[in-house]
Amino acid sequence: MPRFQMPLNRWLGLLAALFLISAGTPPLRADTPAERRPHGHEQPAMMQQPAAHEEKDKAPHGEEGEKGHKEEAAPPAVREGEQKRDAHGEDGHAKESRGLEHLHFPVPPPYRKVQPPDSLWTDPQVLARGEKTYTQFCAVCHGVKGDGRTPAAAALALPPADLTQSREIAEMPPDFWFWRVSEGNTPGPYKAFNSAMPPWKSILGEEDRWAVIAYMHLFSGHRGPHTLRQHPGATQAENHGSMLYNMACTWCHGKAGKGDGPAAFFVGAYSAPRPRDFTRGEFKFRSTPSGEPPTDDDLYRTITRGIPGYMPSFATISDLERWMLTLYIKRFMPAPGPEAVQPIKVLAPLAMTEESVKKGLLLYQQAECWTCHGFLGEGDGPSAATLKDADGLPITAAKLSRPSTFKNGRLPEDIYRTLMTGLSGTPMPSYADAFEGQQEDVWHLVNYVRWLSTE
Amino acid sequence: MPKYQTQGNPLRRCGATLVMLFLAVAAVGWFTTPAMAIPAWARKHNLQCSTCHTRPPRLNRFGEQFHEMNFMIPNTSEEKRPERQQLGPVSLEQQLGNHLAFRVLGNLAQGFEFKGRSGRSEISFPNELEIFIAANPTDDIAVFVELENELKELEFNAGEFELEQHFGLGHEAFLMINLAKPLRRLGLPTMVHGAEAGGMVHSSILGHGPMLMIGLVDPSTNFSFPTARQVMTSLPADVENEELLRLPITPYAFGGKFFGLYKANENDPLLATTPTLYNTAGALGADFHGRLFGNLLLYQFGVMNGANERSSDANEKKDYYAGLRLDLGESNFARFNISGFAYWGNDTARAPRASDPSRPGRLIDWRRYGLGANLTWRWLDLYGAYVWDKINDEDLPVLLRPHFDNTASGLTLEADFLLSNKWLASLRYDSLDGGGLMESSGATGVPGGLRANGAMLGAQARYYMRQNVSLYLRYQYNLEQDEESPLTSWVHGAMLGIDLDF
Repeated sequence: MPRFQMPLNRWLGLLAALFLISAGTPPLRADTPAERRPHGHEQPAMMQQPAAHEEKDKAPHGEEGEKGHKEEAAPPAVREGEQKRDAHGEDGHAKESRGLEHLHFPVPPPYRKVQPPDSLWTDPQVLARGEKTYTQFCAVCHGVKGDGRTPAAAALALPPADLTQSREIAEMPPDFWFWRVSEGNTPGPYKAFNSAMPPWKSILGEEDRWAVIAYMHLFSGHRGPHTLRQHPGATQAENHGSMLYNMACTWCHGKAGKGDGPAAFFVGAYSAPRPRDFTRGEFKFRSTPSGEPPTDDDLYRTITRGIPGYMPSFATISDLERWMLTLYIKRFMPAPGPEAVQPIKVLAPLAMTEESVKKGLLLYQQAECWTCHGFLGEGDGPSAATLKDADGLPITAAKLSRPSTFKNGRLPEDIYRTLMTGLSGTPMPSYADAFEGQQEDVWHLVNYVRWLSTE
Repeated sequence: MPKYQTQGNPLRRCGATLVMLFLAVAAVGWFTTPAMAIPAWARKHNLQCSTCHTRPPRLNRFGEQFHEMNFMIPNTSEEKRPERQQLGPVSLEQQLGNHLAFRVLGNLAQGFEFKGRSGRSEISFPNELEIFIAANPTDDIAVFVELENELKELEFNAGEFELEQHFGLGHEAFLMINLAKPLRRLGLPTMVHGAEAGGMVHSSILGHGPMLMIGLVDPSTNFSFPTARQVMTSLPADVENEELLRLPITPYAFGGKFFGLYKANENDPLLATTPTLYNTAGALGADFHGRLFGNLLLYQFGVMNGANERSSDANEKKDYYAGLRLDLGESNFARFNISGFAYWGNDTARAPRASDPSRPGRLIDWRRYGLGANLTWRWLDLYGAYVWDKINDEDLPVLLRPHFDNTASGLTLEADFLLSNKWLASLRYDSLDGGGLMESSGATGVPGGLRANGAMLGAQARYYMRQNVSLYLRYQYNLEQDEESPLTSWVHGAMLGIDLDF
């Protein structure tokens, strides 16, 4: 080894310089709203560059498209597929691409789960109608070839979506398309992105909107919706979600989402809760009826808030990345059933009046909440010591006197949700059946629980 | 097992007291309503201790990740936390308690039996009182300072050993800086901590860092068996009438292992069981670490003034070290990692004088190599380290060389078993193949004694009244007993202690 003679003060000076560089370096995090949020058709510049594997994915899709449409009027994407994609691969955003590829906000009501007739996607008349509409209204930004490479697009803060991206188009279900075309840039997240996408619902009728959606699918070499299974390989969004998960979540939830990470056992060695096993599909914190899987919003909410005492909050990472995590976690869950998961309806809250609290007290007694939570909500009811979760682990009843420890949230609507959905896998049942037709009483009970708080 | 003496056996004398004390304090803990206060990190993030610890002070894998990544929950931002107050370019928690923690650690009572002399027992106040100051002024910078008041620090004054109270910087006091951003700004391929920049990928290599720790650092902090995170805590030396009766009881793998050496910048002896070199729990230097290939590989390298040099740069040469750690199989409630390190100490200690070994002589170069491993599966936490040391023969006085064993090694193996949420059982085996001045040198009066081998077995039960408050009852048995050396002079000992973190 060399006999190094540099004195410590020089070492310190060198390191201080590094420190100053560090302190003076502007944050690299995505600071613009466009970079922080999931997007719709528009893609932030940093999201445009396709990954290498996506380039590889394209050949079979192009072939598939050609076979599928050889008897029909060939759409632009099919006719010039490979040539156009090569050109896209050379775009100027390569250096900015950082893996925040594609992700969608959940479709809100009333657009959620709306479906066009199956014949829409292949009806030549519909497609022709859609082409006409597209040429008239959409091509100016999205381009005649659907690749979003137009002079008008160059001036937009948020570039228009490249409709030729097969895998990304596959990720967007029909209701998402319809929502985005109908509402354009008016919904919250897209407004924040400075999206230039107009809301078309006042200009185009419903049929015209569906027709143009059907036509736009042709740019990706498909007719109508296609599935991610037709596009093997992960998107960069999934890769990014995977990275986030492996950095922060895998220690408790395990690499395969089974809740068996290396730190998991020590969180719940001899008593509940153990970290969630996503593969079971059983979730405590839901807005859906007992036994149902959670909505995306439920997962997102838990990631954002954390669980007091047990899971850190990830509220300080970007919305986009929380959604990426949400979608990544969903990959571990059992395949959803054919029916859409619907959250319970929450009535408008009742004011916390003395009368309401008194009614809540009666309900608290009638529903025998006290057997676990105790008369004063200290979690010391007569059954509290014997409670066990679905795994047979001892579990404590929530201390209603300390709302800050409520795992499912302390807000009135959180308490309402907990009462109505229960906490699957725990002794806390759903009271949806008990309060059927008298949901107003639930708010009385919520008000009583709030009254028990000593915080 | 040795037979108890009917008279003068401190274990028998204080045994009943120990048991009663233990039961009394356990009862207090059992019936005490758990307090809200928890140490700073847990307080700040509203998490239980077991989120990061198997049981304090051992870290579980999530806790290690938290530690590696600037004391931050992975992927998150400290600057964006709403509970923070902006102070110019930095921000701090509004609650002071989120920056402070307090630890009381040590024996409340202990008794030791010695070979060929009467035993010693005492009821005492815990040896260590520590205050931790921790903050993340920005996402890229963390500050960690440990202030320590040690009641029984071994001092060597005018040829005599004394146990004295010491207050000052503790085992660690450093800045941790995430260098990813400045290095990336210089065009170097780095991986940014967290994911907000989406920059954790570079050429398909995932990871994070590099992180720089500068100040008083523990180089072993990311090793499979970190020196400072002992469930069976180190015990101070035993001194009577300025004579060293018993060496400190520490994991032998970490110790100096050589008998007759002196610290580089002082005339103090460097005892064979004092953690040193890579295992120094606080020496002035700079440590770089980071991850590559996701979480598979941890790399580490650093430079130090020299082992045991906390505030000076006396030897004018630097020590260097490098280490790698491989983490495998992180699922099915299990983890396994294996670590290796090499430490090149230059002029890092002083050899004894050939003419008078009771006084320090010339500076020596000292090399240390180690292997460590850790397997955690469900209730079980197994870890150990084997450390091999070699002193450059050429640095030793010619006349001393025939009488000085310039190699030594130590092995420490520990198993912790979580019996319930409140009980943790531990078993530790230590073996020391000592080096240094041999009897053939004819030396006498060498502080710390002449070369000896040692082995000991320890068993401990820790009772966690809360996750941050525990009592331990420990028994330590010396497998190598010889009254000639302070390493082997004791037969066995028992102790009751407390580890309290707020």
